[in-house]
Amino acid sequence: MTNSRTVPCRAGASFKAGHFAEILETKPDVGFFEVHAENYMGAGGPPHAQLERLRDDYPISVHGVGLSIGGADGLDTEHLDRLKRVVDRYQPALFSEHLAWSTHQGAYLNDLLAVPYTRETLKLVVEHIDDVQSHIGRTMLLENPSTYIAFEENDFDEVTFITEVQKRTGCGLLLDVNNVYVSSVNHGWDAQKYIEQFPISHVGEIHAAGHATTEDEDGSTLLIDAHNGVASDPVMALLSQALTHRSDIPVLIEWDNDLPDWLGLYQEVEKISDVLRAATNAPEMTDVA
Amino acid sequence: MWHDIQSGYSAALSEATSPPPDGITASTARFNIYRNNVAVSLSDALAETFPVVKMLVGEEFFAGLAQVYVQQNKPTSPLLMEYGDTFSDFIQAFSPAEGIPYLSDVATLEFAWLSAYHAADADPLTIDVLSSVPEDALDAITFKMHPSLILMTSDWPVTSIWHAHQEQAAPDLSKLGAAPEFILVVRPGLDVQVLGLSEASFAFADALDSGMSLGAACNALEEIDGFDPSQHLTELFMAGAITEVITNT
Repeated sequence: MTNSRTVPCRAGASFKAGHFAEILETKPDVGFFEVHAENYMGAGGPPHAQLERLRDDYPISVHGVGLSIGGADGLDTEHLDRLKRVVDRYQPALFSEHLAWSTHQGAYLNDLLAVPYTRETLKLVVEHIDDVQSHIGRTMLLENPSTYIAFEENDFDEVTFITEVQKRTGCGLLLDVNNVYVSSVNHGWDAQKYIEQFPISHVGEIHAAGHATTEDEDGSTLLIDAHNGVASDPVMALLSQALTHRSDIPVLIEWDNDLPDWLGLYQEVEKISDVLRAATNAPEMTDVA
Repeated sequence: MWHDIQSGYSAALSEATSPPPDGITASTARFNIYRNNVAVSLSDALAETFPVVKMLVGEEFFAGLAQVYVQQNKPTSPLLMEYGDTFSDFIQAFSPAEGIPYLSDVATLEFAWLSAYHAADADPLTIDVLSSVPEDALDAITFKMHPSLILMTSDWPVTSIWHAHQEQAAPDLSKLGAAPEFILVVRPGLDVQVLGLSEASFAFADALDSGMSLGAACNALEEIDGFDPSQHLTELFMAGAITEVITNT
């Protein structure tokens, strides 16, 4: 049985119930599987039976999508309790959540919505992450978002905000290179510079994923974080760039919509594995803090 | 204040076309990405929970139905497995769906199926367990039913409609009459069972589920047509609906 408390610095995949039978049968060489915490918050039934079985063979990463860490209201303590139950039961090697909000005044909107980067929200996010970490009794990874809008009031750029949150809470970070690319195109940021400035020594996991393309009213390109296909070339280039600084990081290929069959997803895992191998064999550019 | 901006942001997500709210600088097209994410992801969640309702009304009608429901009813927790608990009532009051009088009950059944799917696990007992109960203690025994058990009735043959749609998207429903049904949903292992019971058997299951003793249930129900407690009890054990027999001495 695999030690469930550590994830190897290898390529992993989103776990989807539709792939379960084939994964069990073929035992693919995958570093880890990541599940959405909220899918395992029911009392019992097939989801739990599958995850119990899956964790016999693979390390598990639990990724929360509903905590609303950036929300102005306090965290939902019932939801924190549910998260704690999932984490206690499955002892995942990694646990992550988003720098985003999804619930306001009791209504859950089922999307990862943008948060302004101000002194006020910095204090709020820090308090919420402190709450999460003390409630579930372990360090969480905070993921950088993909965003489509900007706010009138901003005190920090995104990397500065995230760096400050990390310093004040001691949390780890999840660097989503697809989100970096999507937001950079949408807001005219320099994606390479973002990666250079990101506090890579605190990154515990990287996400890569596919995005969709649409147009703004003025005809300029807008990217949407759709998780509906293979990671684009620029996203893979950002992944390689990040890995030149540190290659000892597990990397997940995230795929949630328009799912391929297992083989299709596994091909993406292999692509990520190749990038990781290339980075491991290359000399590192800087020392790891 | 972020709280005020967030309130405007949140409210604007449910409006169809207004420009972005105060505090946000973006084109309407950009803001609409969020509107679309919210509307589409929640409609998709309903389509996943209510596949037979969707087959009965067709893709386009379902999209309209879901759109209005989503607009008026946001989830109250991040657990999408709980979203749609009021969809059946909503359909009942949704006048464009009047032509399909059983639609609301099909939604109730599909939500019951999902609730049973995610309910707590428990090992069902077989009927042999009764052989260890002394005969003079039988009258007083009570039963603990499986945590996934749901009993529901309908004026329409909804289990027949539901079963017919498990194999094909547009089965022939013309032979189904407007006969009432008495339905038991339970998940003794990993598979959810949807069973049609007789009226007498349903009344018996309902009585035992409410905590009535075997003797009291028999006394209360003996007048019902076709009441046959040993047969009904066998049926409940066979369905995996009973997880504990409690001897009350």
